[in-house]
Parts: sequence; structure tokens; C-alpha cells
Amino acid sequence: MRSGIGIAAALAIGFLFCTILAAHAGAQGCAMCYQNAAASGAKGQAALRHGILILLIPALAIFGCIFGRMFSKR
Amino acid sequence: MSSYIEPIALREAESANDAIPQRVYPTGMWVALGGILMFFAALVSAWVVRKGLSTSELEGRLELPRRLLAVNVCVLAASSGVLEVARRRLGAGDVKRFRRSWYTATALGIVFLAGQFLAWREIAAAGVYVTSNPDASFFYLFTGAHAIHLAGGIVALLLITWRPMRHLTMATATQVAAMYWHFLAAIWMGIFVLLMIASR
Repeated sequence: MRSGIGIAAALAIGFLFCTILAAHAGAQGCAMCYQNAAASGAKGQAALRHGILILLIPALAIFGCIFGRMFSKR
Repeated sequence: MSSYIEPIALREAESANDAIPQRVYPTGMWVALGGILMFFAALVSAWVVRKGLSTSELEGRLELPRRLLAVNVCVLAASSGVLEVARRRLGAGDVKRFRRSWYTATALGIVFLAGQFLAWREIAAAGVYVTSNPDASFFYLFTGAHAIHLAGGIVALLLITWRPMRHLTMATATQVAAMYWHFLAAIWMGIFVLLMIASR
């Protein structure tokens, strides 16, 4: 019961952080990066999006594996 | 040189009393593999972005020695398979055949590196060097980074059969080495598929 409450609390805190910080996590704080990305054209912007996705997939997979293992071994 | 593997049971018993539990080594290897995966993912991401930012259709052209690279894939896959066979033979207590399979897998790894070197020579002979175009740069970078990792793996495979590990049992050492080896084979297959798709 206690661990259930702990998981729910952790999820709630995680969700809160995601929603609060989402606006600041736009990653376009750097004016030069923004200008470069905006000036790269539609093809360049698509390439940037794909590049970010490629970085995201293994990172999420690693995080998912660690979390899954932790959850199954708890 | 060959005398230490035979009394495996003795070493396993010695290591069982060791302060470091054996399960930490595979965990450590998983963490290392995560880092290596991110490294190659970063390279692929940079390559995709660079290709997207290309201003000329001709800029990224690269004629790859497809047949040679495909043979290399088969050699590395065979090496990975033979290494797994070696592990099973060790598990069955057949040390002599384990040793033979292990050396075969290592030799196939060396053949793979020689094949990669031939591919570089072939591309260089066609007048394509690291600075020729972005695709060539990334090809050399991918294959070079993978070759360095694989050379490290070959050293580890040889070390396992040449001298006893300080804290690892033979079973753990072979397990950790096999994890690394299979991972590098999978990474190369992924890179190969990407290179083939990109150079169509």
C-alpha cells in the first residue's frame, strides 16, 4: 500500500515538473540556434526534427529498461 | 598459457568467496553499452541533420563497396554466433572446444577488421577521403569508431583466454565479453543498413 502511494506521488511530481517546465524546455533560448534553425528551410527543419528523434529513441529505451528492471526487481 | 582454464571449478570457487558479487560486472557492462549506444546514436543524429542541411544534391554522394561491406557483416555475425557456441561449450565443461571456438570468434573479429581496412582502401583508391564530402566523413567516422571499439573487444577476448581475471569468474568474464561482442555486431548491422539506405 505504502509503495503504491510512493509510486503515485513520484508520478504526480514527475507530471508536475513536466507541465511546469515544458514552456522553458522549448530549447530555443539560444537566439543564434533559433535563427539558424529558422533559416535552414523546411528540409533542414525536418532534418533537425529527425535528428532529435534519433537521439530521443535510445535515451528513452535506456531509461525504460532501467525503470522496468527497477520495477520488476523491487 | 593453456594451463589456467582447466581448473575452472577451482577459480569459480575462489571467486565465489570474493568481496565483489559477480552480478555487478554484467550491470556495469549494461551501463557501458548504454553509453556506447548513445555515442553512435549521436553520430547518426549528426549525420541525418548534416544530410538534411545539404545544399547540393551532389554533396553527399558516396559509392560504397557494398559487396565487401556485406561480407564483413556476415563475418561479424558469424563471429558473434561462434562466440555464443564457445560460451555454451564452457557451460558444458568442454574447455578444449571452448578454447577452439573462442579463438575462432576472435580470428573472425580480426578478419572483420581487415575487411574494414580493405573497404577504406577501396574507397580511398576511388579518390574519396575523409574530407571529400560529408557522407565520406561520416562513413570513415562510423567505421573508424566501430573498429576502435571492436579492437578493444578483441584485446578483451584474447585476455580472457591468456590470463585469469582478478575478480571475475570465467563464466562472468565470458558473459560480459559476449555481451559487448554481440552489441558491437548489432551496432555494425544497424550502421550497415543505414549506409545502404542512404547510398541508394
